[in-house]
Amino acid sequence: MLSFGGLAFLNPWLLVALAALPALWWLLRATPPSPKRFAFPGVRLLLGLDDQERMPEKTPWWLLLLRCMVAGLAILAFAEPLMNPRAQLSGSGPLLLLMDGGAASAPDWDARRARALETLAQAERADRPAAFVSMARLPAGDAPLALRPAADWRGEIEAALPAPWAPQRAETAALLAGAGFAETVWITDGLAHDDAATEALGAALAALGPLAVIGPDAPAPALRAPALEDGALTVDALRAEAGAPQTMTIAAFARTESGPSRRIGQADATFGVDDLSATAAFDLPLELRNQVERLEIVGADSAAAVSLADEGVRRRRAGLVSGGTSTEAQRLVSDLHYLRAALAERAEVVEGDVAEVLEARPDVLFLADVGRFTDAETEALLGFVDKGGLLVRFAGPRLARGADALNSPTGVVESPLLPVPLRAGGRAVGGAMAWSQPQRIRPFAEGTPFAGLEAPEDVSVSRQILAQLGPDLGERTWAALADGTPLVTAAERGAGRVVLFHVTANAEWSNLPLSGLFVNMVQRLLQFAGGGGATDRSALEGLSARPVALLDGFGRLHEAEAPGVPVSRLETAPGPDAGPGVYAAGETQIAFNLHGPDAALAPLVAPPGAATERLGGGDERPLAPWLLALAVLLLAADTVATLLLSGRLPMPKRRRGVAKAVGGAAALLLALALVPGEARAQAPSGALETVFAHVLTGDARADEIARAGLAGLSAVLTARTAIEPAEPVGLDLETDDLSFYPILYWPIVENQPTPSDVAIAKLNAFMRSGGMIVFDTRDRHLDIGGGAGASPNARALRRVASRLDLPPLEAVPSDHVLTRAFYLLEEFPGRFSGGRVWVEAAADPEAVAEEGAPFRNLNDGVSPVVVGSVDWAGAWAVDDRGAFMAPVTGAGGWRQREMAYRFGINLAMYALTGNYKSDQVHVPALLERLGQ
Amino acid sequence: MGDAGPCWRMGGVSAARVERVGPGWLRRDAERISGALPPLMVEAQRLAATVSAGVHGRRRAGPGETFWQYRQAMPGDPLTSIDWRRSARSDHVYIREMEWESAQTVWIWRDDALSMDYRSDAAPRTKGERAALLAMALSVLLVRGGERVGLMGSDAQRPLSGETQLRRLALALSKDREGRGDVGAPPPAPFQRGGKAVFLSDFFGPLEPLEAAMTAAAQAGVRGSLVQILDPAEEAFPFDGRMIFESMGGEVDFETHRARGLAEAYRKRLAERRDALDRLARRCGWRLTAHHTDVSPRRGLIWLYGAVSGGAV
Repeated sequence: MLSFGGLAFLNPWLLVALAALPALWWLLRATPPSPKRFAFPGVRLLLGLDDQERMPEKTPWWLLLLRCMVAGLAILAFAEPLMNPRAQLSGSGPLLLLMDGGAASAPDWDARRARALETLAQAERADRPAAFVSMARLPAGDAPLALRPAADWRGEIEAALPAPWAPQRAETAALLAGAGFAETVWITDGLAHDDAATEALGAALAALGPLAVIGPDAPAPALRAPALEDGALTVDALRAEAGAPQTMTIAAFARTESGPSRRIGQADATFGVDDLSATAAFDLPLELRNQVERLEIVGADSAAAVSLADEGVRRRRAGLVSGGTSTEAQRLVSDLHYLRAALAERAEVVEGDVAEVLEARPDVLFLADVGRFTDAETEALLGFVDKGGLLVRFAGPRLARGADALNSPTGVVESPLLPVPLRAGGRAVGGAMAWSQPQRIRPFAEGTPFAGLEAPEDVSVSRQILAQLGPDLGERTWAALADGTPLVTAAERGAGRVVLFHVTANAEWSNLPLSGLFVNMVQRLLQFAGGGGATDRSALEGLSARPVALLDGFGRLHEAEAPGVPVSRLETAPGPDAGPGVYAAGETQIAFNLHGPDAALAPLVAPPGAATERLGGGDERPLAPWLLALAVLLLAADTVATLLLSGRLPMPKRRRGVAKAVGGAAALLLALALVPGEARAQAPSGALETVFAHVLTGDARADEIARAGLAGLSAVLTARTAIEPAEPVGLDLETDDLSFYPILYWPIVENQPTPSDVAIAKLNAFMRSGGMIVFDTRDRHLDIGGGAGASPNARALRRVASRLDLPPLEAVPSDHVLTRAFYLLEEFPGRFSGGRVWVEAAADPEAVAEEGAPFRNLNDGVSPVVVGSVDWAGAWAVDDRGAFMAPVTGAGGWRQREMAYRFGINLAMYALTGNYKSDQVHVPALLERLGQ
Repeated sequence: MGDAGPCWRMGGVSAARVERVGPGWLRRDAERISGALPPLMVEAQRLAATVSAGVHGRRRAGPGETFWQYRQAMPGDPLTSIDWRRSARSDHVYIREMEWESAQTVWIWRDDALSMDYRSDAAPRTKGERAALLAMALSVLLVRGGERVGLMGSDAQRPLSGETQLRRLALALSKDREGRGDVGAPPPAPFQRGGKAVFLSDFFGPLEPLEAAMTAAAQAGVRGSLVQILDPAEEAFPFDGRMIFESMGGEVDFETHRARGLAEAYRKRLAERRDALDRLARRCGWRLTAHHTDVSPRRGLIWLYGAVSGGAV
């Protein structure tokens, strides 16, 4: 097989024949088309004449090109080209069809399955036994690699689904050791996963025989477990191959009480050219952040692209310890009341003494005015902070006293549990004995956790503990009062922080806890608190983790019914025994993710000697039939062109030059392609102006007369009346829209084709919606009744009309509106005189004219049809110079033609104004009534 | 010479009527099968109706039915010829002379060779059909005027007058002769002095037989007219490309590499042939016209009628 990119030839040696094309060119060039025989009496005059010119003795270049193209196409077709060629199975003997089948295979699972089925079909055609192994779900049992006829695997492959974990390549390698296969097709996810295992598998496969590795264009991306960083929820997106900038959109989904999870936010992970991982940070309010259940790369339907969130990134646990004793009666002055209120709904609150609270492993520990610690407490607190805990202390009388109690000779209190050295005592401002006013809070500086919070005007501090001035006081200050004294200070210690509010947690020293600012500050602190406590699983040691919800291979969460696993199992990567999902151990929910915090993706390096192939890229498609069809088409074009050249096909003279210039075949092909699409580009002029229309009958003369007749009538109407019609149009009943035209003049010809059902429906709709059809048999004979003596045109009319939805007709009565719509007429001559004109019968034939009134009172309806026989259009017809085109017969002469025009005017008036003239009979009565 | 005939008054039938005869083939074919009436006759009569038939007086006294003049009787006049009623009104004796009305004899040759079967796309009918139509229409006119008409080389060769002769002519003209050649030559005819001859052909054959026939006619005191009926394609030679031209019967063929290059020479030869015909005609006191099948047959008929009935020949 010869292959160029997406194109391959099954019989490439046939392409050698292309080299013969120049020879063919030369050969064809020497063989002009044979002359045409033609009977011509004048031949005797030609005898003995010499040819003045000689036809060039060569075939035109475009015909040559056409023929060489035919030959070339045929050669290409017989070389059996394939689009998107598939590796063909080469050998014989047992086939091993290996699929990774892990989470990274899920995004293009359908393509993989199709490819596997295709390979299976090839094996089936070759009558080879096969074994199918999905590495993520290794078969169990005595003979895991049992060979079966290829067809037997079909159902299994069709039913196979990706597993939500990585393929077990090491186990597969062990399984394959010593197996007897002649050839292996490995449909991989393109990831290395575990280098050692992959290497072992490669070695095992290489030992089996020829290996084809079919991988995706780009391996599936993945997500690491989510984390909290600086108070924001972040997640790392991974890719296996660097080389180009890339942006992945990651969506966060929240649990809902019922039904599907809700998308609550999204963030972009932007890869640089060389990055293999990129971080997406979600900017979510704490309440929403706490609801996040899973993060997912949008569009990658794979368990690898889903990262589950657990309590590690969710609800914070806050410990509250009060230095004083509170009673129910003093709730509003309790040290902890405002903290409780601020933490409610945002964190899980644990209260008790220091030891008890630390037992609950809080993320944040609030100490409200605790002055002294025992040594054990100090150690526990230091350990808590060192391990990443956030210790928030509030000042108060006890803290101030505790500082006093130390009796430091310098008057400075230093403690590892304080962010800054404190000056003994405290400071009271704005009291009765003080000079100064209560201090307001300075706007929060950038770079502190409180940045961006608004310090309200009415928050003031009347008492505080002062910090000892020091070189690092400024940078440790998170908030300060207007005079610059610190309000909140913080210091890092170990992995955690110690934060001190220099005021009390109740409203004693300041009204800060009463304000909304306090709530916001506490919330910021909660967000700022890193993980640690809740994700520390050491406390869960020995417990059994019960799966609550498990991911499937496509990354969808399902309620799980599976046996529990030891918590320690969750420390390692998921596998068939423990799939990724949400587990519960005791009260703690644990998210078990496919990729840990340090995971990375690496592309698979195919084992040496393996044939690699890309997955997807469309179905394998043989091109030979198309090429052959094209060749046959060109051959047909060549035949036509040859006939044209030798003059055996009539060619319009004026096109001869053009056709030669363009190249007959090309023009013909083009014409063939264009003819069906050639639309009748006739704008419905009737939509904008009054336009009379006539039916195109197919008889050129009748159509021309009808057109000229309507044009003549239009000219007379324009000259004499307010109707100023535009150029009349001819309508093809089958294709044109009739609805724009008030009058449709229909000259009946003998061979009038009966309209199709579509056209009949259109005509009926036309008549029902107010259109008027004027039938004209043009032969002076109209026999509506249908005697045997009817003229051919009358018979044609009857044939057409029998299918139309026509009302009952009557000969125009003498008081019909047609007789007085504009002119007073007694007869309606056309090119012939006499002949009756038929219109819709009056609705009430019994109506009798009132005494003294000239007409019956028939007001309803305009006849949808007027039938006559005297060739009105012939009488109206004028040519471009204004000369009449057809003579009027009979004695009438010019007077008859004038009468024909007058009838035309009445007809137009009748069609456009309806029975308006009929209303005039009421005028005397109206005048009489006005007179009274 | 040429197509410009005398300006005859048109009859009651419009020109359009004549033109519209064309598509009526079906009906006429049906009649041909039924044999009721030779279709040619219908067409020819319709065509002849467009030319008003007149009495062909000799413009001099002689046997006839129309009054010519009274003249005084001369010695030698038969007594029976004296018009006594006129003579009674005066002192002289008068003889009532009538205009001399003599029936003319017209021989018509319609070339029915295969070459007359040619019709190009531009022409509505073949040359042969046009020739037959002209012959028949002329016959109708002549017979209506009391002349005797004979069709050379057919059953109706003997010049006769009357409806029956017309039917005979129509049948002869409608019928295809067996063993027609590629080109035709006028058959010998028993010309009578004072008669007229009309030859309708494309005159593509050799000129010698024609010359012989015309000489024979001239010797018999018969003058006549040649109508060269040509297809427009034969006049214009609108061909191109490699072609093999063959005659209608396939007797002769001619291969060309580029027909376009021959057009000039062909037209020149055609003009030379027409000149030769014209010279021949003048020598024998005949007249020549060219008639094309794509023009109205009426033009040819009017010219012919003028040529045959005009006394100025």
